[in-house]
Amino acid sequence: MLRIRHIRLRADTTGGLYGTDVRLDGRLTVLHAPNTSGKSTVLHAFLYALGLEQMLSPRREIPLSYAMREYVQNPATGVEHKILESYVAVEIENATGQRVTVRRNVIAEGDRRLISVVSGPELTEGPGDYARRDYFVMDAGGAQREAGFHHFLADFMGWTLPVVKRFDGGDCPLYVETLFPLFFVEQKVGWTAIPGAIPTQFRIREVHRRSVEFLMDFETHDMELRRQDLELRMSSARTEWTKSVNGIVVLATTSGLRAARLPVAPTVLGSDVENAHLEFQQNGEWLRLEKRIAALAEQLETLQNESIPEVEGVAEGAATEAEALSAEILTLNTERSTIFRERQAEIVQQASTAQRVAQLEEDLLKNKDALKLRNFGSTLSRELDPNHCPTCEQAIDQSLLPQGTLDSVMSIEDNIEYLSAQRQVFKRLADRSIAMIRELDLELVSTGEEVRSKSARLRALKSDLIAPSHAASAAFIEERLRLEQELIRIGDTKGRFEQQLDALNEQAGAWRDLLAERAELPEARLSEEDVGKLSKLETSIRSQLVKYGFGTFPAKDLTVSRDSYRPEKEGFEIGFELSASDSVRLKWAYQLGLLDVSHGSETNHPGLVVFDEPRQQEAAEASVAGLLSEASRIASGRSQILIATSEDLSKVKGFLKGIECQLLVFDGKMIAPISGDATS
Amino acid sequence: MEAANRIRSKLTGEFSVTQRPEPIPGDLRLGWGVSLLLLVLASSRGQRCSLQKIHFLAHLSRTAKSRRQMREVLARRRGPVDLSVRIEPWVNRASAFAAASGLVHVRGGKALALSDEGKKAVAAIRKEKVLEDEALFLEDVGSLTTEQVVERIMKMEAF
Repeated sequence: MLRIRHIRLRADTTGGLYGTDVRLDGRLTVLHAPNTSGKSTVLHAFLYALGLEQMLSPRREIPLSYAMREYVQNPATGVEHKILESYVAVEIENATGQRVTVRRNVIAEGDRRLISVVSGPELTEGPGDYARRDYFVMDAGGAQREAGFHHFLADFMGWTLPVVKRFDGGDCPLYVETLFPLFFVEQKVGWTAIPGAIPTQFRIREVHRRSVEFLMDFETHDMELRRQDLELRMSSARTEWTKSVNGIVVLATTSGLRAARLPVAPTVLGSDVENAHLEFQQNGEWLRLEKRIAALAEQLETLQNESIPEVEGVAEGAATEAEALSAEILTLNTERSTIFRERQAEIVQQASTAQRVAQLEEDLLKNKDALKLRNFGSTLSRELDPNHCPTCEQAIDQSLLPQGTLDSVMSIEDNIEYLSAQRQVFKRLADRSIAMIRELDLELVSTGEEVRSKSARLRALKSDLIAPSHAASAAFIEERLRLEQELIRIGDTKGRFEQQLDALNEQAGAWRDLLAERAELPEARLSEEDVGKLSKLETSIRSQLVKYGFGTFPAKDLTVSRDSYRPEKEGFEIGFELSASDSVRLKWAYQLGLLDVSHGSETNHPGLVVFDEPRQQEAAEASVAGLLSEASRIASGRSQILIATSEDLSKVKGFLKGIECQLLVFDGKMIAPISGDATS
Repeated sequence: MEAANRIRSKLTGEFSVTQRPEPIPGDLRLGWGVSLLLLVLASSRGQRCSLQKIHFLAHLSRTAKSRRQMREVLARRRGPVDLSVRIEPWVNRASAFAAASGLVHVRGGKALALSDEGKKAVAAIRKEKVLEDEALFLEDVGSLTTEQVVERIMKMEAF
């Protein structure tokens, strides 16, 4: 909630102290002063004091008239006095009744980006022993950092500014400058748009929708944020998954094994994860590792049950086996060298593909540059990239090849598409090369393992052949040891594999939770409560329009878009078909309607509406009377409405008959000499 | 097969084929070439240089590889022999177009200089960051590559 209690302008001039004080206490305040008397300056001063000048224009200039920046004119003598120093101060109050005084210099030695906040009602009750702190505005972080004034202001008003997406993909808070136009209608630009003249220079996506959603505290706003957050968590879960899967693949590959049926993308099915298993290669075929473990265990058992034979008994068999083994090792080595050659070839292929991709990317960049040059606009593109000969005006090819070499040159756009397609193909080729090399590496490791074990066996057999005849068979012992070690090694790998699979299973559980969370998000963008608020807004606008004498079409035909939150008629946005007076009436009704909704519904509306010169000239007198009575009705629900007008005073007084309100009347210039009292 | 024959019997009209427009490398695009030419001139002393130097720099600033090589030669980590220098026909065509469009002035048939229009074009190219890598290279290398250096490298002499 936000209430304006007091606005003070002060300018120290060569002709003494000038300034004005506007104290607001009523629920509905009508500020009356003639044209060019400084009403807008006072209201702009309020915005300036709160560091909201970027709401009026993206330029970082002081939005105040010369009377606060350069000189003031003495109303009695007409003499101009130069301004030496000036400042504005406002006293504001929030929902908890806390009052603070905010002061910002206009012309002064100090930094204009500083705003000092006094935590007490200094303007209405005079100076006291209050804490004072300086904040900054207009700098990066003004809304996010604790020392930023807008961070303080949002806190003071009880707003938690949501984080929204920018056009460049980054995040930023929904700046307060984008929210104030929804209830502070400023004279120069404020009357032009519904829902409001919201600044777009912050490059926030769909800023009009986001600001209305926040002000009305729509659940969809939270929903959108939750959706964004969920997307983020899901993508990090995907990355984690890929990391785990890669870890498993590396583990398998280094042991010459292959991880089969491993789910590459996250899955919720535990069974899918459990289906993954290790495989080993035997005679060019990949078989389950369990088979190998069983076979090895069986062999080991047989050997363990036998007593160690003497060399004499095994020599004959050893000779034949050694011969067969030598032949096998030879075949394996030939196979390995073929694999190795294939791998080398693939590496060369990969390098050349990478080079090709790099070349394509370079060419793509050049074509994109050429396109940019052609679209330069102005006459420059015609000079840089003429499509007619600059001398003889004949049509020319858009290339630097000799004219007529090509029948027709591809357009730059097509050329870019053509290159992009090629790049995609080559990137796929590169991916395939990586997979191929990995596969071949695996084969090299697993066949290497085989050669090593066969060579060890061969060595043992050979030593048997030359050993004394009563010695124990070394080949037999070696085989037993080898089998034992192999079993330990495989068992160890399998154990680690299962451990990692368990971790993956846990991730599958987390993924299931994420999917469940996504499924819980409702399909419809707006919740029931949101729709309720929108129809409340509709009802309020319609009933107001009837009182304002809206005439373009029956007020009951008006609806508020569920999508853009703008007024619609029969599903079409209302635009030029409205008469000038009716579009002013609609603007009044919409802005007051937003406030009206906040009575009885939970919203973030600060309960404050300011209208600067509500274009009464364009509407009929009856409408102005209607506006004031509606404003008084809506304000009576604990809200503050400030309407500044220069309408004929007697008429205003007439309109206000029987309406409870505070009428502030200024006869001449609002910024006038101030006798040396203590309020300076 | 029967179905194929049936379809074929329906196709009695004459075929005509239109040749697809041919893709060309981005550096042979008119706008790209003329822009590079302007950047070469802008990088030289007095915003003018000889045709020989234009050919030399235009060719070397065209690819990432040749840019790297030229930098290494200037830093004397490589000899001038390693540098491929060429007289590029497209540079002549780009020069002709640029001269006709009033972006450059021809000085005595041997050198080119940027016109005021050309200077404006260069400013726009730099501001929009088009041909960014090329512009960066020319900014670094342009002032070091005097006419004399070009002459010597072309003759494969040390400089």
